[in-house]
Amino acid sequence: MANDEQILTEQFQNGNLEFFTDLYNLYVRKIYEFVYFKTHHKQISEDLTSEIFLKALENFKKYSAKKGKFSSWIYGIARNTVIDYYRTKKYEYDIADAWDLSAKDDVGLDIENKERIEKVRRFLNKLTSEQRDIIILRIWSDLPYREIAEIMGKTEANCKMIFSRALAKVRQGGILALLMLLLINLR
Amino acid sequence: MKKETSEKNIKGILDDLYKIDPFLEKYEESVKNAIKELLKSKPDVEIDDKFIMELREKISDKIEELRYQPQKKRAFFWQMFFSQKFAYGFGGILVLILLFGLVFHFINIDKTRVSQIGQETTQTGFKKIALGDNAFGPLKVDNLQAGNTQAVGGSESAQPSNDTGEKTSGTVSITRPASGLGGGGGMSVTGTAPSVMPVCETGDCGTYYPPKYVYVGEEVTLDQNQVEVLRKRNKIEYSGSVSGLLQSFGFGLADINGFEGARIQSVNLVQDKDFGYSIYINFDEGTISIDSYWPKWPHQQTTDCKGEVCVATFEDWPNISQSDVPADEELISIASSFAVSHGIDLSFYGQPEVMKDWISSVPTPMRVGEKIMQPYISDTISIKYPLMIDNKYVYDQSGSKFGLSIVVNIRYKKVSGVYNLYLQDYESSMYNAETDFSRILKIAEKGGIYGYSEGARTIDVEIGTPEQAYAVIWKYNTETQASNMLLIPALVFPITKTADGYNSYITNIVVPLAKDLLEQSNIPTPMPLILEKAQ
Repeated sequence: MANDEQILTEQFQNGNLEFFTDLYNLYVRKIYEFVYFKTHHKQISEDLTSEIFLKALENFKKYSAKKGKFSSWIYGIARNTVIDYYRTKKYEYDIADAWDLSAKDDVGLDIENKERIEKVRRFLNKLTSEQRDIIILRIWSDLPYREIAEIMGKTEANCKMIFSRALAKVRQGGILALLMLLLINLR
Repeated sequence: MKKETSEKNIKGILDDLYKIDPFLEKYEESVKNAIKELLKSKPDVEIDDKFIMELREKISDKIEELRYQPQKKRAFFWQMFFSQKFAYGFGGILVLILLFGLVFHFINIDKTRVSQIGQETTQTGFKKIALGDNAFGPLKVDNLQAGNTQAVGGSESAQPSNDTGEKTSGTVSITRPASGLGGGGGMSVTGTAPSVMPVCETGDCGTYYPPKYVYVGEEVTLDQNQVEVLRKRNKIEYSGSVSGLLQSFGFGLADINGFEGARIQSVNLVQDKDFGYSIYINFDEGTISIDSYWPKWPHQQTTDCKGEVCVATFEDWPNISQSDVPADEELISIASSFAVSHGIDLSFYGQPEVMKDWISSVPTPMRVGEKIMQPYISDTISIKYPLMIDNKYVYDQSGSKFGLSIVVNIRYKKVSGVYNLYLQDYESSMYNAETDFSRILKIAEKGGIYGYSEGARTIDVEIGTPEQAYAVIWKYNTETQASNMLLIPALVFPITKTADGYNSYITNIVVPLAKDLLEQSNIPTPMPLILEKAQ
């Protein structure tokens, strides 16, 4: 399969746009999932996923296999598209994705996932957008650090370091939450 | 299984973390809990299949739209026979890989032979293997008709020489007087015979007047006594194992593997989508033809049926008028964009030309009763990409440039066919060249090697200073029952002036320089072509 993808991306890079449909088939669910992780909303995810793939197609000349894998490229477009989406929303504070919103402001949040998202919101919105994306890409999207590094435009070692610090924050947040729970129960 | 995967994931994450930050190992339990918590909280993402399909459609439309935008010309080696998308599915990808492998195998084929004889590649993607002198046997053919037809040939044995390839290029050089060569190959038009016959003149109906070609060009000296003839290589053999692939082609009905030594000779692929294509690949000849896939293109619907006979009315399928025909630039853009987006390497070809010779044959609108009947104009128009070898054009015996044809459907402004696309892979062999220009001229003044210009009355047609080019000739081998394509250095004389009142469909006279071919006998009298009087 990796070999097939290589052929597809080579052809795409050479301007044979028909092969983009195969790449789309390979990546649409992953990209949609990633966008959903950052927006918590089905309709927004669909709109942005459409925008991402059409953007990738229109900008095929900018893709070069020498600079990285196709997956890293399309994830990079996805990340930037989500950031742009929230930045144009003109919130009072700087928003990179739905995690930066308070529960009250995240009105579009899908009911099905509300509970799960709220569970981790208090940890994840304490992280920077960069830390959060690395956590999402590593733990939820299960991407290797090599690819995460290409997406984020950083070195692998740097990504691992950012991840470990982010996780440490999450861990601390967890301990604090446990403490809070204990205090509440002791009253 | 999910739990095992999850544990495995967590372990992997932790191992990576500890390498970066061993300090975290102290807090393994809480770190593990944090990761577990994150994993448990991963949102359940359901993607709508309808959304996926609709977006795929949008992407297909976008691809079509982008095709018509000029793209940067790529000079990459034509590594695949073609680059158009196959049908979806694993089977399509398998064929893709097979073809990719076939081409790479082909490139490496005959390595030992090449090292014995010497190989010369003069441009990217163009391959030429030098053989000994007269390796293709006698070039002269008997009972040929003008144009692309079979020829009865002699032995085709190609004996490799022991020469390591230190031959001259064999191109004929034309030395000119100080004034220099003038003129050049004119516009080529399609035509099927070198002779012209006027329509009935008053009192002279049905009389045939052959043309008499009169040379008005400059003096030319031929100073090479050998020319390099090229023969297109056939029989591209893939010796790799395809047993696994063939087995799946058997549908379980037969054991394809049982057919020992079976090889793929040709493949036909179709696109099951609107305006899809049918792609025919012939491995024996190294050719690809692309056609519109009939079931997926709109066709004339017939409504006026009487029994089994149906006739399409004008309302069903409006005629195309001359004003519907796009400008040349647009037609060329459609054709070239298609070529570029499908990886068709255009670097072997010269500037494209729109073949509009049919326009002169379209009658003007006619009044029939109260109706104005528009002339019939074909839905399709050809764009010719003339083949160039060593910066020289290739002409067929009717004087038209030979090359790649991309057909555009005017009604839908889409490419509906690509023809004469083949691997630029040749063998070459040196043959004796004619050095007496006067002899060449005699043949040119007759209308070429198939020309005939005798008669009580002739029509004067002037021809100018020739250009160096190649002539394409097909030679049939009765033993192998296959035709071989030969490219022979030639002089091409442009027609510069015709007799008053008559149009000629021929604009060039082609005379090959290989002496062997000029000595051929039994040149048939070609059928005269009825011309229309110029308006």
